[in-house]
Amino acid sequence: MLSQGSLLKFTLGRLLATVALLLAVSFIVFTLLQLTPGDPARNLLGPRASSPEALAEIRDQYNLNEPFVRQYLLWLGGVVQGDFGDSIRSDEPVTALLANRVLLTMQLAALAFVLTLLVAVPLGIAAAWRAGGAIDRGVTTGAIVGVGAPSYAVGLLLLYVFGVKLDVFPIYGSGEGGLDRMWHLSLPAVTLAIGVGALVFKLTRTAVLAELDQDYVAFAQSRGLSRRQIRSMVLRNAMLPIVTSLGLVFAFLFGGTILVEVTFALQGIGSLLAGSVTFKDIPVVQAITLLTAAVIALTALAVDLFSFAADPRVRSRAAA
Amino acid sequence: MIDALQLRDLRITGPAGVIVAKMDLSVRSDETVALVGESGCGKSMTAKAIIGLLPRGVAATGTVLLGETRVDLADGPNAMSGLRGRRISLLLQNPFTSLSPVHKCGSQIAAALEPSRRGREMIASRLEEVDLPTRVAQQYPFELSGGMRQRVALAASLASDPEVLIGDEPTTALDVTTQREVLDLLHRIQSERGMALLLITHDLGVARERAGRILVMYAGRLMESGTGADLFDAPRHPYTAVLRDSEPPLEHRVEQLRAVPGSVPRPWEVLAGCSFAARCPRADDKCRTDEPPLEGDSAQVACWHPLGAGDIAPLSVPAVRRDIEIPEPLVQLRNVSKRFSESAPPALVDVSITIGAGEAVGIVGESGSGKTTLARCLVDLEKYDSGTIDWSSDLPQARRAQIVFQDPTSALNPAMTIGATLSEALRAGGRQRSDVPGLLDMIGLPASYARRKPRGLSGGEQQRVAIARALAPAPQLLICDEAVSALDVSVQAQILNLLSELLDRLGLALLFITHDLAVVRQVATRLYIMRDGQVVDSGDTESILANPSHPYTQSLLASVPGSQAASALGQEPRDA
Repeated sequence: MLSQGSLLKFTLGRLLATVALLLAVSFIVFTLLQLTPGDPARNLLGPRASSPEALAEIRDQYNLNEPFVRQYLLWLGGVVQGDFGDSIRSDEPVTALLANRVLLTMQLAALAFVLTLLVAVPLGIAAAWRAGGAIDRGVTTGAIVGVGAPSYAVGLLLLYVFGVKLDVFPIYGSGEGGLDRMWHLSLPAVTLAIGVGALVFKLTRTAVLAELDQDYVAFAQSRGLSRRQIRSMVLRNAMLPIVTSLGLVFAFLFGGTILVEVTFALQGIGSLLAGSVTFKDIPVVQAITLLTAAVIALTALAVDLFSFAADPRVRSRAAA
Repeated sequence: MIDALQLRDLRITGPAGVIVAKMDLSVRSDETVALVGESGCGKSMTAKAIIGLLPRGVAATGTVLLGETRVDLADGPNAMSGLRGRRISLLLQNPFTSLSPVHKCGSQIAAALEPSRRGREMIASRLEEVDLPTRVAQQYPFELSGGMRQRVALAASLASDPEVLIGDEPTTALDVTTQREVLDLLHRIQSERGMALLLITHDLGVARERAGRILVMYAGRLMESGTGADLFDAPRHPYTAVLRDSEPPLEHRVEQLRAVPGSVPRPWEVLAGCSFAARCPRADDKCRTDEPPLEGDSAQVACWHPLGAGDIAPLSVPAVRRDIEIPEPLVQLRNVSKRFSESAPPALVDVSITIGAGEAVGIVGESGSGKTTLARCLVDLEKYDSGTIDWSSDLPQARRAQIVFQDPTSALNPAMTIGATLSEALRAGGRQRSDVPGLLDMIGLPASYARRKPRGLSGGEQQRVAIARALAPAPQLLICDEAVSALDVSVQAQILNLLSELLDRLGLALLFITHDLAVVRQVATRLYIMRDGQVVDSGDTESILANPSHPYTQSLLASVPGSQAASALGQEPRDA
């Protein structure tokens, strides 16, 4: 029985754990600056002339003269208010630089995720339901190709076929406005979805097959329950492992867009991260790393809350 | 009276070959018929074939008659689909897996009801029939004990009021006292509803106590059928006699159980003749070439040389009673307590136990009694919170105590040969690997087995290897934690005989942990009875079991199927 009290306790506990995790990550991210070889001030100054005045100014701006722990706390205080400092490359505030790119990557990841959800999960269920049948054999073979093919190769192939030869999708850029944006993101999203979709298909198929093998299915059949009743019973049980794997997939999608962004020339955080690492643009790297960690931690939190709601055993363990 | 269930000429074929052949049976609507046999004999497959739920790759031919309704099994699983639940239903062995873990019990019972009849009162009355309170409808299976879950499963299987119920080992996974309650309940419901009950079990005691007629299967064939009295007092098939004699008696200890060598063959490995011929003491050339037909009217037997009145050895002779001298203590446990978590009940409470050098001590308890935790504390697999365990010697742990677990298949490393497993264990005791053949000889296996992997061995042979591995470091104490519980009764008898022989020969002490009073009687001279983490009764085996004084010991004894105490009780099954 889902009591308000235990739900609140569970949610608070998970939330605190998430915050603790993010604090730990933020500390590691902060030390990136210190761990980079060379004088932090010179690193932050980048290619600009390192006059003593400029260095002093940078030290002052980034509190580099303060004790280490205070430096971290001041930095963290800024981060909480959305201030990651300025990009070394462009001199712009990191937050402004990121704003549009985060939105684009989010849209790309979300579109790929929805495609995966709508195609791979139903296919996985259908394949398991008729294991060894035509759908099962066909999609399983396809999934091996999907898992194995590198996304830049799939991306180039899609670009060539649908962008160049058939000319039905744009080959470049991210589009303007809602529908146009979706239009531009279609091929990259499909590219992403093929890789993770193959994975989700296999996990879904395995989860449903494992449930079909359970005694309760045989028992339900022996009692004369209808196929529809048995299917809903099986899916209700298989949902738990499937949603867990979907959570992992979403986190992976958000952090794994680099190759696709580069292939399709999209200005998302993946391509920004790639450029910033090469350029040692530490504030930008810090911001993207922390952001990715936050998305992963929040996804895990959402999955935990889901299993709390969907699995009575988890609820009872949480109440104990 | 017309038969509620009739099965004619069932033949089941799997990928490897024939699983069951020439199988006929019938159950009237006012009786319980038991189908007994050891694992792999095809009894569960027979149940699955009748209800049309054979696994993929397995097919059946033959005819099922439910009253007037005739089903040709060759038509495939769909032929039965309209009849399942409404005419015939199946209750499975394991109540922990046969219910969906995320659905409430009430909805699982209601699922098989017509939508218009799924009301609250209906579910409450279904729960009442199996002696469960109404609140169970709102509970999930994991919140219930095994016995309660099996009651929920029973209510679910009866939801559409079938005329025939097949119980496939329905009480095997339950503790002995719970088993009695569920068997009583099945009996009551069977007679109240006038329902035919086909009870599939490996337990002869259960079959004898609960069924009017018993069918004995071996390697996919029917060997013999008759009433409990026919089969127990005058078995005609040598295999029935073996089954009967392998079962350790609860009433007394025997010098040696009458065991036959070998293990049950796979049905498809029997190419010609009687499937029991390879292990039968009476077999001749005819038995090995021609399959005997099942003959007789009410009591039938398939044997070329059935046992006559003069051929039957009297049921196991009681052993001469040995005087019990208390030897020097080998290990003493004083007030050992253990708790796994604050919210869980304690696993061990002030347990004090003494095991003497060379002594065979039994610990009897149901699941959750703490008996396994105790064993794990003795071999340092578990830490205890308070109390002391004092060993009389300063030997390293490996030389003090070794343990044999219940399931040999998961206890042996499947990737290692038997020889590698044993030499690893020998090293732990500082012995040479050249002792491997000696070890194998000691447990009655040929030295060539050293090159084999566990996969190539039968369950009984695997358990022998597990015993050899435990003995390899030459420990002072051998702990057997339900070590014969997973074995077939004919193999169990072999292992019990092996254990008592090893005890005599090696002079080692034995701690025998079990739920089975009849088995422990054959092995242990002293007993501790445990319940909820406490020792509730102790003393020498003969006096505890002959004159039980503690109420819990009395109830354990009364719950053993087929026991004298039980049959006195079983005439009028009490309503649990």
